[in-house]
Amino acid sequence: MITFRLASTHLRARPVRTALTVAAIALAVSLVVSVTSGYSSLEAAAYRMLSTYFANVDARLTHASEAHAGVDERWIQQIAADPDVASAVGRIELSSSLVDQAGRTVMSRSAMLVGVTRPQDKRVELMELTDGAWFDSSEGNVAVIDQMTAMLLHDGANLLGDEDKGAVKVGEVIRLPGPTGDLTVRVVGIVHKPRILAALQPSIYLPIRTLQNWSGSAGKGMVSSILIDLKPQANPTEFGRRWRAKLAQVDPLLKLRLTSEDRGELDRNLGSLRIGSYMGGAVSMLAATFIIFSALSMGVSERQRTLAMLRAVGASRRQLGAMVTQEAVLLAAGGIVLGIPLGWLWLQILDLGFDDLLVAGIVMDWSGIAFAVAAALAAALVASILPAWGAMKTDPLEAMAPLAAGGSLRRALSCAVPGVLLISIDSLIVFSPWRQLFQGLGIPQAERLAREVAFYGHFAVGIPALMLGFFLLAPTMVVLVEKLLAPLAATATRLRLPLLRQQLSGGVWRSAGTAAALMVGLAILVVMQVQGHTVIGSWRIPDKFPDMFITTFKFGGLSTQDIEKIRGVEGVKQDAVLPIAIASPEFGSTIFSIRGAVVMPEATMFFGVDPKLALEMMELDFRDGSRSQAIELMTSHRRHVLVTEEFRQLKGLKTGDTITLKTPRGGTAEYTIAGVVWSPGIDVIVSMFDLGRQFETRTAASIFGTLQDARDDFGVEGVYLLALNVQPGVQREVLTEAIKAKVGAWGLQAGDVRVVKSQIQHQFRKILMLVSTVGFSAMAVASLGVANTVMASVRTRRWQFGILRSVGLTRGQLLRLVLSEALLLGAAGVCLGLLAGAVMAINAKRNLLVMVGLDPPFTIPWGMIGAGVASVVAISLLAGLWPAVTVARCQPLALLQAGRSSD
Amino acid sequence: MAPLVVENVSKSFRQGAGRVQALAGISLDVARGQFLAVMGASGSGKSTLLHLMAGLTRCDSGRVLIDGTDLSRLNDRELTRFRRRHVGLVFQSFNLIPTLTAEENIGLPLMLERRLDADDRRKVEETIDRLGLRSRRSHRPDALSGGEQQRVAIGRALVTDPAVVLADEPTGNLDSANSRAVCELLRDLSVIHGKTIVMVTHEPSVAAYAQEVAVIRDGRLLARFDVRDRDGEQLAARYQECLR
Repeated sequence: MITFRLASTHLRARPVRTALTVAAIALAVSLVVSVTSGYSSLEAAAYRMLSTYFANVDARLTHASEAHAGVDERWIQQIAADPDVASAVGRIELSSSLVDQAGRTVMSRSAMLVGVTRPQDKRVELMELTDGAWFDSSEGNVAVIDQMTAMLLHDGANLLGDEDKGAVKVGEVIRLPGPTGDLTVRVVGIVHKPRILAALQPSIYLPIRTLQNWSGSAGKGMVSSILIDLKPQANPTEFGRRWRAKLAQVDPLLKLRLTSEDRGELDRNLGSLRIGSYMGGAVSMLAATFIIFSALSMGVSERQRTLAMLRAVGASRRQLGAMVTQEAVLLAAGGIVLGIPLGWLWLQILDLGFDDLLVAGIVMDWSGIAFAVAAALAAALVASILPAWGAMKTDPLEAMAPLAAGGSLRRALSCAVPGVLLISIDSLIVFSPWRQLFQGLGIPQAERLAREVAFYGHFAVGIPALMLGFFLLAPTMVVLVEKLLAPLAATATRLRLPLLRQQLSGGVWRSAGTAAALMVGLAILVVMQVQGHTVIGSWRIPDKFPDMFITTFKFGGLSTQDIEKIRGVEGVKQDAVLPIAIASPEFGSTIFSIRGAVVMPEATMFFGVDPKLALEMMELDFRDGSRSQAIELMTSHRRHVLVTEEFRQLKGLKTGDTITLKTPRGGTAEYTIAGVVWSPGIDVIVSMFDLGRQFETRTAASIFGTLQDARDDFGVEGVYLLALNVQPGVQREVLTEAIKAKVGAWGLQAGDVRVVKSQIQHQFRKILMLVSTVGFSAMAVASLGVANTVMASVRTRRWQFGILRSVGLTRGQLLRLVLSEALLLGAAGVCLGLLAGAVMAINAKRNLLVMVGLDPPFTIPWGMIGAGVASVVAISLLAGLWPAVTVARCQPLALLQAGRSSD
Repeated sequence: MAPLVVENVSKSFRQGAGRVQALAGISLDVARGQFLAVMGASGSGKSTLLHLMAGLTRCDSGRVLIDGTDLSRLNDRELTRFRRRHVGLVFQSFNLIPTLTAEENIGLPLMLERRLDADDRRKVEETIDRLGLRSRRSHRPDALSGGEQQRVAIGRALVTDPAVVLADEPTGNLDSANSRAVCELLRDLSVIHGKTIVMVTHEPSVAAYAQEVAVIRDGRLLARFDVRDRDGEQLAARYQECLR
């Protein structure tokens, strides 16, 4: 095992380089471990929260179009009588505005009112009760609230949940605004929820009868859902089959959902996200791969004479290749040994900071750890291919030469050609007209296949080929940057240009490896930021748009009389009140088949409106058809819809074509497209009022039909959303109070879409920043590589530096010389990163069009990209500082002696 | 048959747009136990000849035989193995592995062949003793003097008991005392232990330790003569005479 001995002693002989490379791998491994285990911990927390806070039961009966109170509570007794059922209890879940103790309405935050059947419903007892006790009756003016609600009810402005600002205590009385007057209840208990849950959805638990009585006549005898627990021996599938048949005969809109089915769907979706977490972690591993490559290249380059001698005295090519590969594996093993505990340490820190979120504690993802180990070993093996090949090609004659020959620069530059070819593969995959090709070949389901080829080809082939391509392009970029920027760097550092020339290209592969490592982080940052901002930047609200949207959670929705009353409210433009009915029909056939990506729901949001009024109030941009034609078709004929541009892009449909939608009563309905509009802003309305919560199916694109079709085909009776225009100068809060006074609608909220859009974008940007930490993590890994490369470069030129110092180069000049090299290396990384990021962003945008039909114009966040560039440059300079200072402090003689003694 | 035979060997190199003829049909043989010094001016082709004898490069025409094996008939893999077993190489700049000890450097060709067995260990021990390196066996090259390093390199060349030992300017990096010691060692190896040695040098004082000198100029063998009873100065004079 001489090769192992040679490999291990070589690594020991370069302790700093080995340590930095191992540190880079360890950091990458730790990131994979912490990201995957962090995700597992979040998943476990999600399941824990589901079972604790969201009444996770075996089955749940709800109403398809009336989520708040659509189930007759007489079903409870019938279901409870089923021999398979252990228990069945009703619940009501409603949203309501909050009024604090000073009488102020809490803005931007509604509360969930949960009507609980006590003492039968024992699930609520799973929550941590911090004060008081649960009520034991389904009647009475008592309530249990969570800690966030307690704070908001005390001070409505305390939206961030500052505990120092006080909270409502057990025994105090709170007031809830309602349709039949305010409800006054006494707080008997306070539960503690994870902060994120409590902040998102403050909750008030009330006896179910109290809530029913208070909600008015529409709520009497009705519940939002019936929670069903089955006996242990019961077969849920059989139970579901039996009851679905029974329910369909009475009311097809009653939906029985089995947890076993939902859990499977949830597991599938979470599984997709888990793969995403693995991919996120693997990005830093990619940077580590380039660092390993760089370190191995340095080793091979420095040992040309030694390798040649080994060949001369009888080492086979394979033995030299094995030696380099074993060095890589040893580095990876070191990284793994250190990286796993380091990952565990990150998780402990995460747990300390987010213990309120990670309610199930830290869950180590063993498959994630296995993935980290496998990825580190694979990274090492992949990174060793080129250096091992280089070592195997060593000519034994070089052992005889007084000076070892450097690597061939021309050969390195010639790699640019295959590099560009590899880069172009991803563009070919996403831009090729697969659909037309498959259709031309007569392949069935050509559209589905085309989308899957683009999606899977992009991730499985395109991205890896692109990264490899840019790596092969790196030597050329290094040389270009050196040629173009060295004069600038020389001027900036007041050094003579000849001193800077060939600093990087002297060891072109090690420079290329490090530049590629720097590239990974910046490219990921660029593509995530550009893609994210392009998507959110495309939310454009039309110039002509309703002033306000009003939503209510009143049982049964707003009646015609209610709408008339609203028209009469002072400040409302009478002829500009638009009721909007919302349904969520499924498509008649599966048009989006890639479910694994969690981007293709099979349902749509159907907005039922008065077409003429809607198109007067909303100036939608017609991409196909015309406004007048659409109004004519929709008002004179049934089953005509406007579809969005995204929808058209996905399906390739145009005005006059038909789509099939499933109706809740088991049938299908053919809808004709009356026009294609471009108005992504409309989706904000849905997000704004969380209307999607009414539906248990995720929705894709929006479709605009008529109120009549919504009612006749999809059983939508109630109207929960109104768009309206108001007289100039009318304040939203004043108008909301006036409407409440007129219609007694409770849980009523009004909002300015533009404000909400800005809030959503703000939140999205925050998430984007969080996700972008992947890029910054990769940069952190790369910084170790920069230090490595600069140190190696300094090491190989100590003799040269010694001569320069001997003939008069000052310490300061030497320091600047080495720092300039680090700067040029950073510049090469920046150029590669920006180029790779740009190509990836263009391809990602095209994929967005192929996958979801969205084709927004590019929005480039120059500030964030500038920050990324600055980070790379700063990282490079910082990493170069240590070797620069170290060499600058050396005496000329020491440099000469060290240079001579090096092999 | 002589352990080393060079038959009508030619070799040229590309240099810029043209080609340079390094060797032009040279032939020589070295008898078993003979110590031959190859001399010539810079660029005469003496190093190229040594490289061809070692199987480090291939000739354009002619052939090199070591112990009857025609090196030109071996592929790269076979040639590597042959070199490992049958050729000992000594370099001007020692070329030791800096991370291995003196003992490990000596045993390197054996370790490249297989895991060391008792017989191999004995060979390494014998070589260490023969070279007087017992007290330095555990030292790494950077802790050894130039002479010691070259002795280790010679030990590495001898440990497999090769058919020929080829030395390329072995004293080029040594002071006079160490040069003398290395030359005496090579001579003893030839005279006492019967090793066949070919040494390339341009220093007559070093060549004087050999038994025979081959003088090369412009890739051709100019002369071959016995060193017997000639000191360095006499050999230098004879060498200059050949070149005239």
